[in-house]
Amino acid sequence: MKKKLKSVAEIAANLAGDETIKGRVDREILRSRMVTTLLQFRIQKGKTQKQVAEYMGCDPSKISKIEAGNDLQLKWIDIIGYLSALGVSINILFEDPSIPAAGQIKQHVFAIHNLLEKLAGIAKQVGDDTQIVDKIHLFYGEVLLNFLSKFGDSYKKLLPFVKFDNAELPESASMAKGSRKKEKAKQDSLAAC
Amino acid sequence: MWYTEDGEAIRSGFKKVSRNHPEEYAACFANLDKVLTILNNGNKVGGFKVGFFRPEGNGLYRIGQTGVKDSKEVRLYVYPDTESEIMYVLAMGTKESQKNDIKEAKKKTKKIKVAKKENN
Repeated sequence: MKKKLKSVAEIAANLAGDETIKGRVDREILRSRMVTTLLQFRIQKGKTQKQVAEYMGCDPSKISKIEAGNDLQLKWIDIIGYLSALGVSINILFEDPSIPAAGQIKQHVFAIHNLLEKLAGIAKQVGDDTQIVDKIHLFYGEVLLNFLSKFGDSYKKLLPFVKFDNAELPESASMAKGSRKKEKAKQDSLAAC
Repeated sequence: MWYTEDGEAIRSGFKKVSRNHPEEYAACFANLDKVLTILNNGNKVGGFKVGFFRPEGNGLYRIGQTGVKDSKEVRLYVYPDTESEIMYVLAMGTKESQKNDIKEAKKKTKKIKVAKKENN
């Protein structure tokens, strides 16, 4: 029989003989996500606690304390200092679920635009390096294809609920409407038989 | 992929700590989760230095915590079997019981190593 793999929280609850411990440990793990990410960055970059501490102008014991603790004890200034020591920049994405989907889409469109501008900037900088410029060019095409494909999928799902005036009916919608009519006629004739 | 095993754990210590110091108990296990994340990212035991994950000799490691304010010093003892990628959770206790906890956990480590040798 295949052995069931247990999560750390399940092990903790099992050893304590108390099921409520599982929730407590899961919560603590969730509260330590930022610290775990910082720690992963330090190890990935091959930096010691001492090196990070030197950059931040503090004692290595402070770094040790940060890494052994959870996100609730993190100070903003420590996050910035720690990541700067590793040469990692910060991008913060604020997500407000109460913002309507349309607002969120606008935000994402602007974010994609900024990133594309960044790529265009890189192409400008390395103007002579045709290999990089070609790759960026290809990637622009890929982005457009992906966008059109995803946009098309969603648009198809939206169309059946859209009521158009005949005058302003787009070709694709007109075709969709036409095919719905044909489908209905087919069903009617089948029913008549 | 590393996974955790508790079949050899000395349960009395875990029950005692979870009852008397529940927050420290959870913090220690959260730190175990951090270690597993690092190992599952392809790092080797001994290939990285983290203050709360320290060797105690004979392959035994201790995991501490500082996440709880005014907390009791609590330690979790584990044996990472690098070959099979199994993290054996063995013992838990406070600073006062550490001498005995390490002794008992080392006995368990030896037992696991012997059993593995015999199976091979």
